[in-house]
Amino acid sequence: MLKVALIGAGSAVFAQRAITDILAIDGLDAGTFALVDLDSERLELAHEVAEQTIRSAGKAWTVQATTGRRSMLPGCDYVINMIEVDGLANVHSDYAIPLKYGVDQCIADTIGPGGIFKYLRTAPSWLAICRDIEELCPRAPVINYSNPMSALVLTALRATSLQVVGLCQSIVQTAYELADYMNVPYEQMRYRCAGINHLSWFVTLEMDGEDLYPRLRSAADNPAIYEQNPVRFDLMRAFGYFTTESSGHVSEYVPYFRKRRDLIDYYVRMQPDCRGGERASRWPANRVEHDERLRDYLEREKRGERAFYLERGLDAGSYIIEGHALNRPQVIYGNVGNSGLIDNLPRDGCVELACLVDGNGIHPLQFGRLPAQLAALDNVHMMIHDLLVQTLLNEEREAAVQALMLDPLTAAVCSLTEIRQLFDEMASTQQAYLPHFINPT
Amino acid sequence: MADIVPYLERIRARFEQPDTRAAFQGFAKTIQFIFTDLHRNFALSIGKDGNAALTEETLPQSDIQVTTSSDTLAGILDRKVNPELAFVTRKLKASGKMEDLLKLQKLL
Repeated sequence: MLKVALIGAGSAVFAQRAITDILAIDGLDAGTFALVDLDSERLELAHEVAEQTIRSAGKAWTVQATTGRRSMLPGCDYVINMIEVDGLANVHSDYAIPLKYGVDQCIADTIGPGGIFKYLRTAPSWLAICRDIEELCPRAPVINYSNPMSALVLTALRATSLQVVGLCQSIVQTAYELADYMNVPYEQMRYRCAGINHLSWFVTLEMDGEDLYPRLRSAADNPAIYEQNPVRFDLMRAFGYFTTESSGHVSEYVPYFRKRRDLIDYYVRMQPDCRGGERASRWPANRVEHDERLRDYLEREKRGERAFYLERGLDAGSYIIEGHALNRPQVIYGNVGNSGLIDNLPRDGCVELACLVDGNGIHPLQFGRLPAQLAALDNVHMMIHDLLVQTLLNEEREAAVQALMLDPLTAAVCSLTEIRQLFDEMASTQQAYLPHFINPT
Repeated sequence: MADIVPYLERIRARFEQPDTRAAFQGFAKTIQFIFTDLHRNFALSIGKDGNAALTEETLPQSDIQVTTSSDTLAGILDRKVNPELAFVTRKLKASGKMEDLLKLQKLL
């Protein structure tokens, strides 16, 4: 019987989605969910929710839960990672300190000062988890959802022999958006997309052999459509292709949109929560609200009401398990080691592209060359990922400082001296949560 | 095609519950529901006191617009359709200010 570990299952809303999707796999009617989290209170909520979701789905899965992952990993067929390390304690300084230096981030969890410090806080725990998996269930494919996605996946690829794939819905979600903008049926649209997580590119966009880009460019001339994604449409106008992350988030991946107040005013006017640390201030309350809703749903389910949504989502995790465990070939988008898949991106970096999954495993598909201008935009981030992994594996603080110096938004706003001061201030503030070699000397 | 009126009435009836009224206290907004399959539009007007009224009409201007099919909204309320999935796949579109849309999440 299949055993699926969920590491960081105390992210109960997220864990429930993963469990719901797996339970929806036709023909996979029994197995064990092994829930792991260091926070016993949140783990208990996840445990109860998992048990109830299984009952509601009418499947014969069982649940085990523990705060000690090493006891749970032996025999696992799949490991799903969704850890969040000290996020609540640091989310405010992730936004507020950079803001003092003029760096106004949007999401701040994959790149920029916030993303870099999230990596420095998260990567040691992630690496320890990977080492345990390598020792206790080395054949299990590892599915990662935690951010910063690319740098974490790269860490595992460099430091272990595990088969790791990072998943994000941004490509598929964007494809649905594009179909809507162009008013074409999603099912009839064909696309090829590749790059890095949150900065992949729809290099081909077709329907019945017709290049859809002229339609998309026309759609962008409609203010009602343009307003929904001004950053992405302006990137398309400048570089020729549509990218995969929402306007607010992608605006912090490139140097053009957030370096001056007037630019921020213009580009995030439709998303007021994408500036000034608004997301950071909301996150703790949002988390409480999500938990409350989940508890409310749980109580209603226990009373016999239907409260959980049991429809399978778009997320690729369950499709990987279906493809692999049942040998039903699936194509998913994943973040994997490059190994020459995208010719003009670094061969030892982490890229995002289509992968075939079947009974033999996860097979990333050769892509070829990205247009040079797109490769250039992705390349700088891959070098930042490289420096971050170097920081962790070589205990090299200066590599992390240099990663921040190369960050496109930070570099567009700050001098080298200011960036070093910003790094030092964040390191000092978050000292208790960082590896010893990051701490100020 | 679902008979959508009883479903919309279910949404309105939530405002009779004290917790919903408390959650929407001071949220005096209008929600326009546009059903693409029915070619019928409905308006839910929420008062400052947390009460709500449902009418079949097309408002000249609304705070939130929800465009969907009757089957999708019925499926969401019956817990057969995942609202997040419906949103991502554009089976349900919602427009309005971000803070208003976050409130809408509580209703659906």
